[in-house]
Amino acid sequence: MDSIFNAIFYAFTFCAVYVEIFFLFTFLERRGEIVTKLDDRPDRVYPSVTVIVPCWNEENTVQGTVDSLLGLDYPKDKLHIMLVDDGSTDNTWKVLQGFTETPNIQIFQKENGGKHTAMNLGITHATTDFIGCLDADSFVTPSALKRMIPYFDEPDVMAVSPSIIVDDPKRHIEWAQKIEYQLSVYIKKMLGLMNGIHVTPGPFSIYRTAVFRNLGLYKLAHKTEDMEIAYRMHEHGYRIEQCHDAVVNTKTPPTIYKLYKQRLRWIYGFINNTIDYRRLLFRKKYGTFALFTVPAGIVSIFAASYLFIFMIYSWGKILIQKILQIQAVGVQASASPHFSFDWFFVSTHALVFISIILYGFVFLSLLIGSKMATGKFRPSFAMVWYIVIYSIIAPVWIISAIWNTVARRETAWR
Amino acid sequence: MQNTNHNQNSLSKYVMVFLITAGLFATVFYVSNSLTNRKLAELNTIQNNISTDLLSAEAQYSLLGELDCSQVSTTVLSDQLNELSKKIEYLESSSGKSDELTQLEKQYSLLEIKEYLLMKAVTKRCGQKSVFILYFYTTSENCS
Repeated sequence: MDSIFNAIFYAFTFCAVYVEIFFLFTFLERRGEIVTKLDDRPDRVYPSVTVIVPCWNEENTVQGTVDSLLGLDYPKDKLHIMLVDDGSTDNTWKVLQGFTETPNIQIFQKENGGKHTAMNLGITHATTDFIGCLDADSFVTPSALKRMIPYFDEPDVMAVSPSIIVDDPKRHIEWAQKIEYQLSVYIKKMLGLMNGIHVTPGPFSIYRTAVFRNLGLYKLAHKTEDMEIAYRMHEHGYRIEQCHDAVVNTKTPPTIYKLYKQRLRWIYGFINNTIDYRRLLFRKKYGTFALFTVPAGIVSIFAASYLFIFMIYSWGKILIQKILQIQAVGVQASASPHFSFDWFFVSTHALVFISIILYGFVFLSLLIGSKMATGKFRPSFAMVWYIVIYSIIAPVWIISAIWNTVARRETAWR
Repeated sequence: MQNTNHNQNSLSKYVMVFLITAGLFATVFYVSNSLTNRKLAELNTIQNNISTDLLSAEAQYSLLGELDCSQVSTTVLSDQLNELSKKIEYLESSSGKSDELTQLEKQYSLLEIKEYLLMKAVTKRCGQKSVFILYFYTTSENCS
């Protein structure tokens, strides 16, 4: 029985190392394409863009979000902003009304129906060729939009996502998320080079309006409408790019419980959107998205769950053996207690080397992500903190998401 | 709207990454195996040394009629056997059962019995007080 468990363990770690090497291979193969497209020629014509900010109980952050949009280095007559209050119960609407007199801002208020309904209201009122979304707890940097628009010079690019980094982390859990988001900058850029991005996130993804005119509006989609629209785009052969040097800062959950709730919703959304679009899987027609991105996501979910349970089982076995040993012979104390190091007792199990390789690749990915996001190729203690925290808590929300799917239990927004 | 080919991955890329990963795993298993074999060889050496020491102690005991009891060393053998048993136990838990390890465990058990018989005789001859605890290995899942 143990040999079966071990074989499954090795199979999952093989997949994990495969994915890491795949990304590294892509990075080395295509690093010449990781360039900034900022094109500040005076004769460049920038298109009109509508940015929709859906809000629900965001009184503390929406002011900063709108101020950051107004601070964009972009022709003011080409930027339209729509603020949609989705039935907030706090002072969000009052804050939005402060922008009534701002020329390029429209504000809307509606009954609560979910983020996707707020976005759709904005889309149906938009008249520009490009539409963007910005979550009300996120803040764009001034050059973000100018860096993203040149990606649309290629006519088959239908959506562009920015690099999202954590805004002003203070707590350990926020620092761990900061590292995770830096890693995502690297991963998403590699996926973008292969047209394998599977989610166009809420913070400042920009779309051609034609996406919604041709494919329809946002759907509820298990409260992950930004993922479902990306799946739908791939189904129709649309190309999604990632602009790694367009930076958006976002607020992240400040406690472990709130992070758990958020990630539970994301993983539940991934599992259920994948089930809804299972017809695309492993079909060459849908490229990297169907052959690599989604399958790797599926394997990672089961791998994380299995490895976590395997670890608990292994530690439990060791603990029981120790208890039985102590019950049989008592606690053994040496007559002359001293510590002597013996190389014999250093584990040379294949597992140890594979773990070192796997974590080595993760660390390298973190460094590359840090370089792409911040310009610095520098390790930090937060990287260790990220690996430790996420190794323990990520499997919990993954297993919960699997359970909620099996039990058909919907997840909450917050 | 169709995907452009330049954004797709060729089959050869998937295969190459697979081969690199497989090569990495093969290297890891080879290195791990080699190191485990070295540990087994070390245990064999320790076992041989203990055998020799045991023979030496038995010869000493045979001559005891003409020697002082204080010159018969008894603790060193026990310490060596203790170290051997810890290493055998560690190797079994980390690498699992193997034919070589089972053979080592048999030899350890025999050495342990020989040491017990010798110490029992020395205790009786020299009037020492000793407590004997013997550990044995089993291939059964359940000892009861």
